[in-house]
Amino acid sequence: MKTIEVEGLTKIYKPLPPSKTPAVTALKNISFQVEQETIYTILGPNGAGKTTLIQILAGLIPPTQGEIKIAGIPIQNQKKVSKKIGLFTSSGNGFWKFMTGWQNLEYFAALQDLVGRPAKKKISELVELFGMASYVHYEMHSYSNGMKQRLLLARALLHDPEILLLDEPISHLDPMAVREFHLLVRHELTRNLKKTILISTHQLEEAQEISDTLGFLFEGELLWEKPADSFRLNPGNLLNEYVETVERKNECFETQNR
Amino acid sequence: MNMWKRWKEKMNVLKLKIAKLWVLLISQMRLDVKAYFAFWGNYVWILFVCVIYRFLFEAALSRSTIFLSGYYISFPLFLMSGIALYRLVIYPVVAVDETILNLRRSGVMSWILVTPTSIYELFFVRSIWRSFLGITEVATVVFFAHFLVGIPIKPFFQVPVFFALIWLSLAYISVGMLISAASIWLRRGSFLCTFIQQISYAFGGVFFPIYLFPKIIGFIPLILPLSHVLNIVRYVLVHGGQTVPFSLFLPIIQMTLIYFVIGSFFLQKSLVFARQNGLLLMDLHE
Repeated sequence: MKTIEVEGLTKIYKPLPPSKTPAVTALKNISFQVEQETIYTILGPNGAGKTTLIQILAGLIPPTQGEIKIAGIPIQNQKKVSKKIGLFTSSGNGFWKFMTGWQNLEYFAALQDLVGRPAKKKISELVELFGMASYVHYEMHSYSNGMKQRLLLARALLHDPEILLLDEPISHLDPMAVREFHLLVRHELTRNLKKTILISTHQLEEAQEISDTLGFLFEGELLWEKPADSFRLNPGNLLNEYVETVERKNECFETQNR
Repeated sequence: MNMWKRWKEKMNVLKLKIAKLWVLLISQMRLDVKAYFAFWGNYVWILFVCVIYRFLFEAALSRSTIFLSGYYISFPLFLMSGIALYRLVIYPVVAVDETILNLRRSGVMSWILVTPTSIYELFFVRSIWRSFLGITEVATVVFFAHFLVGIPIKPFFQVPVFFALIWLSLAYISVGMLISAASIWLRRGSFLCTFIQQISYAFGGVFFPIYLFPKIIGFIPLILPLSHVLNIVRYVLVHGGQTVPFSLFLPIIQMTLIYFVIGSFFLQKSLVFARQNGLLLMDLHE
């Protein structure tokens, strides 16, 4: 069953008056689907359009063109879609540093209309699941990146969404924390909690290890989609594929410009 | 039976809303209280202001009075009411604008937009909290003035004074909405808050009766809610709270309603536009 369906998605950022900068096409006619309870990773260099794609799927910005369905619901139905989606963005994580981890989770649970006993129960479950009991009552400014990452995941799961959108989830983590993060995502979230996950990253090794399907986004175009299995046997292949695709695309670009 | 069920459901939704606003309010308090403790030094100003103005008050306590529209008020009461009410202006005016600014800066905005919570709920919570802070500041200034220079405290505790303070908060929250709407377009709005605060301070009749201003700038106090509320408060301080003419309240009520309608209209339109164009996700200082 398809949980995320994207058909002909285009996003053009038009400049606001009085700015005279040209319009920027961030995504060009993208189509893909994500199966239920699988991990789909969007790869691509900086500026490829990964974050724009995540923001559109989360309903933060509207698409210029195209059709998107989240768990069968059109993206335009924002209220219903927001209940299906858990968003994780590590840049500007949005925690209040003067509050403890627990208080932050209480605040964000309230934003999800989750208060009182059900909120406390859910937060306790997540604290246990992510092993945060030893520090969740400390103020946030004392947290390491790994601790924040766990709290971000817990926050995304507060309202028990079907789908998790993870934007650059491992960008600030050391190798040990990356390993822990993989285990959490692969085993707890996908296998145990049955979540469908869409990740955007430019870290190849992690992507091929954790994902079921890989998609390569370059300058707003989805150039290929492949099962991650095909790269796992030969770890160097993904890097080669990545470099070749970028070089081919750059050559095309240069030929067109000549 | 159906009606009972529906009523029960509605009550549950209401209960949820109240519980939610309560949690958000507590969080807001936690945030602000921690932040204020971190910058506790700023609060020395209360003592500082009182010590500086002590000399003024001492001069004023030589029974000099100031003529306002049709009556005389002692200088200490005139000055104290001005300073106290100005402190109330500072908080409500930034309640809405700071909400957007903080949410954008901290990255919480991108998260709120994927929750069922509306930004207006957060404005509401922040406005209540900020208005409360403002009123505590008014009380602090009045109490310090009483203990340090013996300004009478009783005249401030009258019902019309409280009404006037509530209107003042509402008026400046509405002005804050206009500023927030502007900040979405200008992408830098905080200077507008400071500008409005300074204009209110200078032209609101805090230090001088507004009729002393030259005619060419005489219209400025008339469009500032602070000057109208000061009119009410000073009248009550002199005449007591029993017989306050409605004509004193009329300008501030009209002004607040006008500012509120215009402010909420433009804010709503700007938020919808910003939402559609991804502007809410941008940091104001990007």
